[in-house]
Amino acid sequence: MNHTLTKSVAAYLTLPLVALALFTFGSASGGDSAIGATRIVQATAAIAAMTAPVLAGIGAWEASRIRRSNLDSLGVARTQLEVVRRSLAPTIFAGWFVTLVIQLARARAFPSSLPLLLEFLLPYLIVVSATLAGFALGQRLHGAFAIPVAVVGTWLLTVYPIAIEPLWIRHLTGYTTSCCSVETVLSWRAVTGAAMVALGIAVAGALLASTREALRVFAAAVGLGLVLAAASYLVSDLGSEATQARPTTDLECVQEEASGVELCLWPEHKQLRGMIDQASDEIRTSLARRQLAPPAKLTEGFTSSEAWIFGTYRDATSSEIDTALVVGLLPELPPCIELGEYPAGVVTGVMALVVADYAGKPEAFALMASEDDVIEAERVLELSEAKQTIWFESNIAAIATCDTNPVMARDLS
Amino acid sequence: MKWWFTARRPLMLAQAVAAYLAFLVVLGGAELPLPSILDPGAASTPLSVFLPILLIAALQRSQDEVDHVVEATAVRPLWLLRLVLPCGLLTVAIVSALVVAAATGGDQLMAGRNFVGYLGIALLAYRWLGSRAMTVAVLVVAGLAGPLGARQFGEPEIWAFPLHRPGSLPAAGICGVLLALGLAQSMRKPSLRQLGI
Repeated sequence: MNHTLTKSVAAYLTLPLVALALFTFGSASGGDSAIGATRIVQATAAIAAMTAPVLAGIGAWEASRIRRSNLDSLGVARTQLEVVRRSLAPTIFAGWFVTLVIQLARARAFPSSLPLLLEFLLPYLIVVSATLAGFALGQRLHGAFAIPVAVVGTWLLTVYPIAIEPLWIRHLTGYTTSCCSVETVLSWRAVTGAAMVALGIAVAGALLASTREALRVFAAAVGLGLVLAAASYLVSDLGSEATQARPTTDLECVQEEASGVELCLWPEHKQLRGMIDQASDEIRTSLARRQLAPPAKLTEGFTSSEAWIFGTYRDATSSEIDTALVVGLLPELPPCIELGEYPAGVVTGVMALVVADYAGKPEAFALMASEDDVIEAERVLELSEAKQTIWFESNIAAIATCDTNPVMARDLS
Repeated sequence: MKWWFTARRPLMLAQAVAAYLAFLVVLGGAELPLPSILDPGAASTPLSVFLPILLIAALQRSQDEVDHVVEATAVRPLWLLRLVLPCGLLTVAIVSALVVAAATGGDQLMAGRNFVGYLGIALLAYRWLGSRAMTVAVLVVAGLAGPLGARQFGEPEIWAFPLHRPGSLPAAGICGVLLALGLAQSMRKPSLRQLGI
């Protein structure tokens, strides 16, 4: 064993691989890095993108060493599978060690759900599949060609799918870059699909590496094809993101008994509860002066269309919370706006400014409003109270449809 | 002379050159939309970064069945002969890049320029580490340049010469220096590493 270890190139590459994976992890983007799930997913992506191609290359290198030794022509007492196992064990252990170091150093949070646990284990499977695939390639191609094909091929197959369509193809590789924000969780379909593909490649690689019999090679190819088809079917409902909506049962709700007002927040945002409570009270008071009353339930996740829904993030400032709450008061845009004309589009920005003013937070959209919208909003706010009510109610109705013309301030003055 | 040439697997070399030329014509100007790890905005990597590795692999393969000890102890000096193969491949890479780039208006010159740098690295690796390290050494440079060599807005780091545009003077300078060092090492008496001792 000592001999195998000192002769294995993986033993010498372990530390550079750790450094490379840490470096890759440090520059990874996508998702809220304060969330444990995001860090677990990023650790897996770093292993899949940077460690797996190198391990595939090492697998091909080990195979080329055995080719050069002309082992096949000697009377070997061990089975081919045992030769493969002894040859690749240091490489696979090195890959697992790199994975463990990355997870201990960076992932921090322990998996809190079954998909996350599978995502946590996925890089260990990817390590095995990449190494075995590289080895099988190295047995069939000369090392001079097998090593670059293994490294570049694995890298391309891992990261290229995120640049092509259909979008769901990216979920088969384990290189996930779009998880997770606080209102989403990792999709079990995405992680299961990636695990199936990695397992399929590992089994096919082991079969190909341990035999040259045509029947077994055929079985490996057919088996891998079937696994790919099944995994594709599993993830084909997903879009570009490997996420699904977070269950609203995770929300932590507190209800004021006197007023009946309820505030529901994700556990990660509990430290914002005081600020949000205060801002929403100010807005409710201000709107009450206009005889307007927002829904009693203020919540982050979508629970019902009757709720006042908003979204924020962990380090939000009070002005960002004000803006988020006012955005939650705006009418929802109808789905038909993607199909064609939307006459009410000219008043959506004005409506935001007017609602912000009614809510007592006129600065909420100050920096993002266009000059035309600001001028029109000023005209609206200069109208009499009765005319403002007509403008407000007419345009709330117009914004909800794609065939109603909006009412402008000049129409009422 | 005939033995020397036969030992270097001319058929395999011809097949590799033919495959390289075919890839160069069909894919040489292509950019793969591969995301850079350091710069998510630099969403494309030229295929010319990887294509010339095929010729380096062929060069390494051609050294595999050579009896280096016999050649090192030959009566006739072989230093000039040792330059024939690298210089032949160099000529193929540069001429084909010029012709294909002129014909298609693409960025195939990058492939020719990158081969110059890769050849220098491969020859240095051959000298210091042995023939088996030739492709691996080039692969390390190309492999690090692809995902790690792009700064913000797709601008490559100075060391990542494979990613530089065809007209880049720093990249041309780096490749020229690497080639000169590699060729100079090739003209010297073979090292023990080269002899496989």
